[in-house]
Order: sequence, then C-alpha cells, then structure tokens
Amino acid sequence: MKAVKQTIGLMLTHSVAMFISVLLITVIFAFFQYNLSLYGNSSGSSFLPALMINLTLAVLMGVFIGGAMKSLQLNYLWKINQHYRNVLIAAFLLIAVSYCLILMPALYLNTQQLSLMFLLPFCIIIFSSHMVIGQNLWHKILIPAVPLGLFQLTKYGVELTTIIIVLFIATFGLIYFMYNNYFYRERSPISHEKENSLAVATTGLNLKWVMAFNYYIGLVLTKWIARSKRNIDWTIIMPHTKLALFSFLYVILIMGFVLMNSEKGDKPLLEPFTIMFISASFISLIMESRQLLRQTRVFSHIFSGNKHRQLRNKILISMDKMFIVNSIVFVVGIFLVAYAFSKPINAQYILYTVTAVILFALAYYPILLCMNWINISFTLLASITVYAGTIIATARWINIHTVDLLSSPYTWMFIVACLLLRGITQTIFWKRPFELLLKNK
Amino acid sequence: MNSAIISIENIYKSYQDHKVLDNLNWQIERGDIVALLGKNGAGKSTLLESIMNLRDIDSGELKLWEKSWKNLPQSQRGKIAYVAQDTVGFEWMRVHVFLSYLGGFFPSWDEQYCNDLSHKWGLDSNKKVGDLSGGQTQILHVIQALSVKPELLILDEPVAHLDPNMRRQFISELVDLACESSITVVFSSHIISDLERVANKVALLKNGQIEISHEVEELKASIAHLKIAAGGPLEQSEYYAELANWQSHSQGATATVVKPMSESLESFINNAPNKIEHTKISLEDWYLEVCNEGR
Repeated sequence: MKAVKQTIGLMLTHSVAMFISVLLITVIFAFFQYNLSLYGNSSGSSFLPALMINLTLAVLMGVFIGGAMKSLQLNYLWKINQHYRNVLIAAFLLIAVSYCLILMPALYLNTQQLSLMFLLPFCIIIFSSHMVIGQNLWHKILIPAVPLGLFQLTKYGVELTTIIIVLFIATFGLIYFMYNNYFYRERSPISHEKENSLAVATTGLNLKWVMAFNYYIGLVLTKWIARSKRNIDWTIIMPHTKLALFSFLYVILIMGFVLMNSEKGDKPLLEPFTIMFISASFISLIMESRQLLRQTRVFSHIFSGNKHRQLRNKILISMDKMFIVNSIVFVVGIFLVAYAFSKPINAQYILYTVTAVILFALAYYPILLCMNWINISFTLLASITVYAGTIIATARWINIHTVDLLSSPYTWMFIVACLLLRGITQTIFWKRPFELLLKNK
Repeated sequence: MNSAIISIENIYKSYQDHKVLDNLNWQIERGDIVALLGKNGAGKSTLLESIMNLRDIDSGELKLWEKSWKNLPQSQRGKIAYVAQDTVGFEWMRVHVFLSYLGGFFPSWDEQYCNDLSHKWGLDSNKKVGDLSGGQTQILHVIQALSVKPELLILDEPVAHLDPNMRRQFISELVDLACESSITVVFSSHIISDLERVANKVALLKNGQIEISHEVEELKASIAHLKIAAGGPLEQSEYYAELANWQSHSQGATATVVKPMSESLESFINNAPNKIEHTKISLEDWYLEVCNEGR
C-alpha cells in the first residue's frame, strides 16, 4: 500500500505545469457548471451540457494520468517486474476513481444516476488516457474513439444504459489489456529533450509524426507566411508548428463533444469550450516554447551585446505571432464545426472574449517565460491564479455587456491596462538573466 | 552441474531487413564479470536488452538460471539489476525519492549501502533527477542497480559519461561487490582500460555473433603482432590460418594473433616453417585490430 500511495503522489507531480493546468481548467469548468446549475432552465436541459463538462474534465485527467503512467512505464521494471506493474495500475485506477468522486457533486444537481455521475467519467478517463499510453498511432486514435463511436448508437435507438454497460465492460477489458501489454520503450535516435516535448507528452502522438508535422508546417510558415530565412526566426518560429497541432486537437475534441451532443434542442456549449481551450492552449504553448527556447543556445552568443536584447525581442515577437495564429486557427476551426453541424453559436461573444483573452495572454505571458515550472512555488500558483481569475472575470463581464461592449469605457480601460501590463512583463523578461531564461524548466 | 547463469542458443534478432543478432550463442558462468565489446551499432544494447527480456528475439533460446523468462519466478527476477544506456525518465523525482521508490520493488534492497554510496559518490539526494548532469544521472542509476545487491547485474555502457575518477570508483565498487558476493556482471563498454581492471572475461560481438569470448588474462597472453620473414611475398598458408590481418610484403608477411590459438604462442612460433618475430599488443590495439579486420 505504501508503494501505491507513493506512486499516486509521483503520478500527480510528474508534470507540475500540467497538474496546474488541469487544476486551472477544473476550476474554470466548475465555474461554468455552477453557472449552468444556477441559470440552466427548469426543463432540465442543463443536464447534458453539465455532463459534457464532466466528460471534458475526465478526458483531460485521462491525458494527464496517461502521461504519468507513460513516464513510469519507461523503466525496465514495467516489463519484468509484476509487482511494479500491479502498483502502477492500482495507483492509476485510484486516481481515476478519486477524480470521478470529486466530479460527482457538480453533476448531482442535474442527475442522481450513478452510472452517469461516476461510471461514465471513469470509463472516459481510462479510454482517453490511451491517447498518451497507446503504443502506436492506431491505439492512440482508435481506443479513445471507442466511447464516441458507442454513443453514436443512440441515433439508432440503442438505450443509453446499454451503451454505458457495454462501455463499462470495455473499460475493464482495456484495463486488463493495459496490465498484460507490458512493453518496453522503443529506443529512439532522437534526443531525450525532444521526447520530453509537450506536444508528444500531452498529445501522445508518435515523436516522428510530431517532428514531420512540425517540419512541414514550419516549412509552409517560413516560406509563405513568415517569409523568413532559416535563421534565428526559424528556430524561434518552430513553436508555430505545435500551435497548429494543439489547435487542431482541441477543435477535434470539441467536435467530438458536439457529435455526442447531437440533439437539435441542446446547447452545444461551444462558447465556454472555446474560452476554456483557448486559455488552456496558451499555457500549453508557453510550456512548449520553453523547451524550444533552448535551441537558441547554439547561437545566442552572437547576440550577446546589450544583454541579448535583439534576441529577446525576436523571441517575444515570435511568441506573439504564435499566440495570434494559434487563436485564429482555433476560432476558425470552431466556426467551421458550428457551421458543419448546424449548431447555434454566439459569434459576437466568442470573438469579443477570444480577443480579450488574446490581449490579456499577450500582455501576461512574458512573466510566465521567466518562471521555473518544475517546482510548485507560490509565485507560479499566484501567476496562474491571476491568469485564470482574469479570464473568468473578463468572460463573465463580456457575457453581460456583449451588446454595448465597444462603447463601454471599461473596454478601453482594459486595453490600456493590457498595454501597461505588457510593458511591465516585457521589462521583467528583459531584465531576467538570459541563461536563466534558457535553463528554466 | 551446469553453472551457466545466462545461456543463449541460436538467437536471431532483426530490425526490418537489418540482422543485428545472427545465430548468436553465448554462455556466461556464475561469478563472471564479462565485458562485452563491439563497434557502434554492432548490437550490444540489443543483446543486453534481449537478455533482460526488454526486446523480443525473433527466434532462439535465452535462459537465465536455466529458465526461460516466461518461467522465471518473480523472486528470481528481483535478483537482476540493469542500467540502460540511455537513462531516461523520473526527471521530476528527487534523487532520494527515486532511490527509495525503485528500491521498494527489490526484496534485497540495501538502504544503508545505497545511502553510503550516494554520500561517497557525492550525489545530492535533494536534487531533482532532471537537474542532474549526464554523469550524475548515470551514477544515480548505477547506485540504484548496485544497491539491489543483485545476483546478476547488466550494465549497458555504465561509464560512458563518467569522469576518470568516478570510473575508478565505480570499478573499485564493482570489484568489491564481486569479491563479497558471487555476483555475475555483464557490461558493455568502449573504454578498454576499464575492462582490464574489472573484467575476468571479454567477449566481442561482431557480425551478429560473439566472435571472441575468452578470459582476459588468457587473451592478453595470446595477442601479438607477428612479423614473418621469407625470401619474397608470403601467402597465408594453412599453418597460418588462425592469424588475422594477413599482409604480404616483399620480405614475407605481417599478421596479428587476435585470439588464443590451438597451441600456445611460443610453440606456434617455434614450430612455424618461417622465422617469426613477435610483439605483444595491448588490449586496446587488439580491439582496434579485430574491429577493423575484414573492412
């Protein structure tokens, strides 16, 4: 039992930044669930959106603990030591069960069915964890797609209860498969740093695929969009590639939920999903970029004059471009999904909110680049809380004032505040010793 | 009674079209400290990983303590320790957490010994694994493996990132461990001077097979450069068939003895039809000779 407890602790702390992101998203979603429960109409239509929120959280938790599991599976003991396997699986399942129990009360306001409150999120956690744990691309795509496929059967008159029972049995089958599928990591000629890349860790995609994807998207961006040569900009612009990857994945995830929530009268929750994912994607992109910043070590000495000012500016400009392109790709993706599935969407609200989120993120992120994310520190928690709090407050404020937003003096105050904030965070970024910026973990 | 702790018979392993292990046979006896040599890409890591059951072999038989991995009980598996060439993972853990966590999975884990080694080798137990340098990470994994007090220790290039001082300390620890228990060690390395200090046997992996496997002392006594005198260019006759790197020249030929022959070097020279001068070579020179042979 001691080993299981220890493993649970290690799994939860395997990626502090991801853990904080999951917490952040849980808090933001909880806020929306609370809103739904309070303002959802009395006919009970808030149930499905609330369930969708729970399942989204389950997916994120699945990816998170899938990453932890994958990290611990790297050791050779996973292949040869049965005790190690037992402990890992037990810890993995206990985290999944505990998280489902934490999610239960929020859904209890809408339904009292244990199968929906507990079993369904549990199954989703196990299946979605295979986006990371899956040994090959087919496992990573097909296994997590199983619940989505099963839910499509409701269209053909299959009872939801039956589907949940099938899903539950399939989940146990999958756990059994996990337990017996004791593989050893394939050796990769690519450096460990790249294997640690967040695009690989969070999406669970094969490294070769991510690198190929990066290469070709990077090629397009630098040739036709960024129009730069393969110099400093090329090195720093590489995050552009992952940004597209993140955006596409988030859009696909949202599309999945839209498909599940296919009843005509239901609110597909596109607005909150867009804001959730765009806020979370900034955190993911910052983490990803921090890995890529190390690439500049090779030539940073060339720009050592004036405390690397020129290079620092290049980094910030590249990051700005990355955030903006990422958001555009994402929002266009959302609008296309809404259009393709004929879902109602409050375009004005989405555009305003996303613009506000981008503005705030652009103003705020330089400070996040200066921090060390490997340890949970008060500064890190405070920074994330400020980021999350501001986004929640802004989204809520825009929701109330969508109509008269452009004429409101608060809008202009917000823009000025963002500009001032950017000035401050950029100064902090400039003053940070360059070697620390590159070494930050 | 067969005292082979590792017994490999006719194993094959390919990656796509590339044969890495090709009908390989090898026996390692209890208490042996075996250095596995071979060029980059020769398949040393694949062989060690196959012994550890981390890679599936295409065919053949591989036994530890005369049992296949399938039949090897968990208690026996816990007596094996392994250090991989690329020691990845666990970056977020602190050193002491890493050691105590993994130690929990080995019944013979010696906590005191582990602490002593960490202290002796100057490993900061509060540091995160991800913050350690390449050499320190390797030391960490070596400490973890030694603290298991294993009966079988497999090390894949364990000293590649260590400075000479740390290499000496590691070797000394390994020798101590081998003296106080009947540990069997198989390690791959490119640092020949180290293997001379610690190994009692040396094996060379070439062309997918263990081409040479001998006692280190026996090998050192046998290997030599030979200068064979003759009136003109000398072709390699049947008598000289065991010699490698045969090169004819205007006054005879030169060749190398790369492995112990059917008779001793002295009697081979005395019985030869030609006059032979010999020069002893170091293991390092021998290694270069055998690696370049047939290129």
